Amino acid sequence: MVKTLGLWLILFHGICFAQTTNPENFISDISKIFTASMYHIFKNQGLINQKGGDKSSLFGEKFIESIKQTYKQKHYLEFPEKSSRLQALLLKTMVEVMEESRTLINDEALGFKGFIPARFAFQVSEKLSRKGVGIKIKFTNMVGSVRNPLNLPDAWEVSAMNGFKESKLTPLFDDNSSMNGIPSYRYFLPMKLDTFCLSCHGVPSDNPLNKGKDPSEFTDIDMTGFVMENWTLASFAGGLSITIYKKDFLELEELCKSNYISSFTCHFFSLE
Amino acid sequence: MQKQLHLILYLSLLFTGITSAETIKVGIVDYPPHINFIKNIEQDKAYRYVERVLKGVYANVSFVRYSPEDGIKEMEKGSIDLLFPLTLANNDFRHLSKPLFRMVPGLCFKKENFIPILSATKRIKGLTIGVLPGTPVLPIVIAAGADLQILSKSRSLTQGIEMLLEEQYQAFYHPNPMEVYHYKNPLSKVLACSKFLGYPSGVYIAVKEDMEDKTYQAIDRAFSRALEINSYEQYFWKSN
Repeated sequence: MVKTLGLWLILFHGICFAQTTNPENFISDISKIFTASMYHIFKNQGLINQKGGDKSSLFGEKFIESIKQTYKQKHYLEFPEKSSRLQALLLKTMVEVMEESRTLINDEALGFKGFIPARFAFQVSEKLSRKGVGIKIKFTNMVGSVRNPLNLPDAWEVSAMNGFKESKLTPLFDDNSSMNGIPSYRYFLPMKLDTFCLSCHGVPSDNPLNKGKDPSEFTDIDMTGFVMENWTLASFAGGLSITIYKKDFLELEELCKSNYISSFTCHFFSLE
Repeated sequence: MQKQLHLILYLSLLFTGITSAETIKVGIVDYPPHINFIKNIEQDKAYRYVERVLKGVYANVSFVRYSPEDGIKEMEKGSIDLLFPLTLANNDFRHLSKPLFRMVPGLCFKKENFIPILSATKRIKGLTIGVLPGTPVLPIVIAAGADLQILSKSRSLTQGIEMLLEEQYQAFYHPNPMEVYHYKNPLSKVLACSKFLGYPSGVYIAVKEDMEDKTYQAIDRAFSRALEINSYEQYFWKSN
């Protein structure tokens, strides 16, 4: 009993401590987890679109472990050891999205299922915003380059992207911004196009649907049903925009100070 | 599943602090598959979730079945405290602050006609889509130039799906297609559905108009916490 209580107190202290990290590092970690998860979904398109077979690695704990491995490979860093409440919630939300997509992913009659990284990301972002935890994640680009109008940029994002078009592709962190009038930390990670992106966003000759065809028969509609953008590896591809309300970032610290029971319980269940 | 229910009960107790000795009367309406009057509703996920959370606040929870119209009348009279599940338009009733769950409309197809990404609206242009009368269709579907075929008033969701399988149209507009396209549902062997991501609507627990603020807050807090920590949707999908 005493040992268990001790373990809980250590866990509780560790989580509170983790939350008090620098907001820029924190939001950067969130972006790294998110991009690793998207890269993981891309890497697994073969498995996802396969008819039948064992797909258990795409669900539950195995999925989280795979994302942690992809994180290491992609960012050459260890996965953040002490996950904060929001980071834990992000991973949990990813697992929920995979679970809700289980029927589609395991559908043995369908080949291409449309469960692409952008779709996964959209569902995770949407689910997070529903949970009311004060974190917004969105893939966006300049007006005219966004496929889904729900991902259109706001003024801050347009300004950030204009800056990137003229300078190096380093992330932008803004600790003096707001969203919907609420003071927020905002972060924009410009995305670099990879070869695999061009199969949908490139020129018709990049489109797998045109493989083996005469150029006169090429379609400029990609596998997902959108018109291809004719981008090259040098094109500006928009980026990942993350907003965290300052009050939510601070929430945990304050809960730790003011209300041990609820904050502890909250962490406990976020991390379950 | 049992563990999850215990967690919800534990949480609601923790966050409300006290359990009232009073009884709360809850109206319940048919809302398959979450509440299915054809079956034993005590086994239904929505029933179990709501009951467990309320038992963290009240010693006794009594459920009464109603048609949506009768349930609303009873709530307006004040003879029941809560009524669920209800899709609310224009905030017509007082309700808990967070929806119990959200529905995302979509299209169902025979598998060979499956369209996975509906935001690619060019693929919807000219598509014949069956729609049940009274179902609000998203403006993007109309703007895309789909050929909407409104079914006769007597048709049910089940019949709408049957007509899809008989190829009377190419797609069927479903208010929450993931309820059909679920691996436990035999229909998922013959059809596949996609969602209009980004267009969710809430399904709420309505509250009688004259409920005391203190009571409202106790119930609302219990549900808010339970939903934050182990959402009904998560519970529904996991235990299904």
